Amino acid sequence: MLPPTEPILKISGLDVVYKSRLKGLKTVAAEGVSFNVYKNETVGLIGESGAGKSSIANAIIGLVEGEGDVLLHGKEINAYSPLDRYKKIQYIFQDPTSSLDPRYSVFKSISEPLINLLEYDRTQCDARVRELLDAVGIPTIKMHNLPHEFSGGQKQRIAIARALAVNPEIILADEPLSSLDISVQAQIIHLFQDLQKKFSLSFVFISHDLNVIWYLSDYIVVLLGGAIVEKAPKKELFQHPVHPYTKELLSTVIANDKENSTVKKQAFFDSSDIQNPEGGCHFYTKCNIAQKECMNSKPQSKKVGPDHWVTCYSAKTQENCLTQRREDAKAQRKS
Amino acid sequence: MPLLTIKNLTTSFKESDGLIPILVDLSYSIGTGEVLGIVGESGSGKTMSVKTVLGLCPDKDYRIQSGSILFSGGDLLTLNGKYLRSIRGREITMIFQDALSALNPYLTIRTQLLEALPDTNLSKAEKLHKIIETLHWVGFADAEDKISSYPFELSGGMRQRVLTAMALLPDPKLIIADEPTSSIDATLSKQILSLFKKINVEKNISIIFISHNFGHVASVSNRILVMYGGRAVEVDTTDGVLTTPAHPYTRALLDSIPVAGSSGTALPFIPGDPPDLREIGINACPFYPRCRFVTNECKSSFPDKNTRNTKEFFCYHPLSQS
Repeated sequence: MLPPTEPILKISGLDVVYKSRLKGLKTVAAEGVSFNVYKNETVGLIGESGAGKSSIANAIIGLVEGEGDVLLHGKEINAYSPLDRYKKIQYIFQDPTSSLDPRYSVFKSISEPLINLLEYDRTQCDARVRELLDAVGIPTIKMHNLPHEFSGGQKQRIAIARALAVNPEIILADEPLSSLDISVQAQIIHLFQDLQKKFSLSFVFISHDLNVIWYLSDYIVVLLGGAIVEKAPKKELFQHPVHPYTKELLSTVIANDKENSTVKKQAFFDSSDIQNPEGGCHFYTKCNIAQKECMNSKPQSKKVGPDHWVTCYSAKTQENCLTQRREDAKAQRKS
Repeated sequence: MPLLTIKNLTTSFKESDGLIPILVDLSYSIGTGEVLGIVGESGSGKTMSVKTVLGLCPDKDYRIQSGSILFSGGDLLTLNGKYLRSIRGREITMIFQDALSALNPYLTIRTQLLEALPDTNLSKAEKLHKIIETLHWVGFADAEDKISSYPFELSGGMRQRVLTAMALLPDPKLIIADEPTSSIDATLSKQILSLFKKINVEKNISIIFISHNFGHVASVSNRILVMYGGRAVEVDTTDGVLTTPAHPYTRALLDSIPVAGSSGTALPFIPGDPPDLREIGINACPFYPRCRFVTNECKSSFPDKNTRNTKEFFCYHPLSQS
C-alpha cells in the first residue's frame, strides 16, 4: 500500500538522555533518532539490548522525557494532554504477566481505558469488551477470570485487546513476542497481521529478532548504541543492506531453507565488546572497513536509495549505489 | 549401553479434584558423550522429566506412579537417599534457567564455587586453583580478580558461565542444562552455545540440553527429543528431526519458526491452545485437538512406538518421508 504523503507520527532528532542524580553521570540512550510512521504501516525497530529501542518508544508516549520533535498529526506530542495522547497511542509491553494487574479480571483490565479515556458506562463497556475479546480470540465466557487463569499467549492477547480498546491510531509494541513459545509466537504474529488489516492500525514494533521483524514490518529502522545506522523499506533493506552492521545482522539470520526445511546452525553476531568511542561511529571497533575518520567523528546520514538512509562514511551516494547495483546484477547474469 | 535411561515414567500432581498427569509413559535415553536436545512448549514436561531424574521435585503432592530411571546400573527412583546424593551434584549436575536466581546474592562466587566442589582430599589452595582453572576454561579472562565478585557485579553471560563452571567442577558424567540460553541476549547465546559444544567435545561429557528454541537445540545436539503433553512424540538425530519430521506436531512446530527473507508474509501457526491433560486424558494422543490428520483412533488410544531408520515416533498418521 502506498503511504499517504503525511505521516501520522513524525520523529526527528530525538535524544533521550538519562541523568544520574547522584554522580551527575549521563547515559545517552538515543541520539538524533528520526523516522516517520504512516497510516496502516508498521515500523520495525531492531537492535540489541542497550540499542535504545525501548527508550525511543517510551519517549514517544511520554513515559520518559526526550529532547527533539515528536509530532503527532503535525502537532507536538507534549501539546496533547496525556489522556488525548493515550487515545491515539497505546502500548503493549514485553511481559504480559507483569503488565496485567493480577487482581483485576480481564473485563476490569480492558474496561479501564474505556472508562477513563472514553467515559463508557457499564453496558457499553460490556459490549465493547466482548467485541475486543472476539477480535483477539479469547472466549468471552472467560471475561471475568483473573490473569493467572490464562496461559502466556492468552495473556498477551488480553494485553493486545486492552491496547485496542480505545481505537488508537498507533500501537507501540515493545518485544511483545519474546516471552512466548515458538508456536504461540506464530499465533500472535498472525493476530497482529490480522488486526492491522481489520482496524487499519499503525505499529511501531520493537524486537531484537530479525525473523519476527520480517513478518511484521513494512519499514525497518536498525539501531546501534542509540543511533540509527540504517533505515529502509523491508525488502530494500534485506536485498541491499549497506551498513556493515546491518550486513552482519542479516548474515546471522537462521538460514531456513523451506524446500528441505533445514534449520541451519544458527549464527549470532557477537556485539559484546562494541564500545562507544567518544564522538566516533559506534561500530568502529568491530567494523572491517573502518577508516581513521570513523573513530573521530560521527558520519552523517546519507540517502542511498528510495527512502533508504545509511549513517556510514563508506556508504556511496544514491547515484553511485544505483550504478553499483546495475553492475552487480550484470556480473551475476554473466556468471 | 546408555548412560541414563528413563523407562515408562508416569508421574502426576495430586490436586483436590484428582490427579493431573505431568509425564505420561515417557522413555528416553542418552549415551556417553552424546548431546540430547529436548524441545517442546511450556508445560510439555521437559523440565519435570529432568527434575524427576535428580529428585528435585516437591515431595508433597508429586506422585511417581510407575517407571524407572537407570543410571550406571542403579534405579535412581528406588535407591536410597545416600546413594542419590552421591550421584546428584557429583556425577549428574544441573545448570538452571535463570542464572541470577540460581546464585546466592549474598555470597561471592568463590564461596559458591567452593561449595560445588565435592569433599576431596584437596587442600584449600588446590581447590582454589582448580576453581580458577575451571573459570578460565569457561571463558573468564580475569578469573583471579572476578572470583571475589558477587553475582550482581557480573553480566548475565558471565553469571551463566559461573553456573556452567559450577556444573563442571565435580567432573560429572552428565550435565543437564535447563533453558540455559533463554534468559540471556541472543548475541550472548551464541557464546554459551559454543561453550556447551566445547564441554561436550573436549571433556566428553554428555549433555541434556532443554530449550524451546529449535535453533539453539539444533546447533548443539546430536539427537533431538520432541515432547508434547508430557509424552515423547518423536526422537531422532538432529538432521532427522529437522529434515524429515514424522510427527505432525514436529512439522507444525518447524513451520511456525519465523524466518526472515522467506517468500510470502503469512506465517503458518498451530491453532488452539496447549493441551490440558485433565480434559484429554492419558488414553489419547495429546495433540489430537490441534492436529490436521485427526481420526477417531487418535482420540481413544495413544499409538504404539513406530520406527523409521533412526527415528522413533508415536503417531497413527505419520508424515511421509518426502
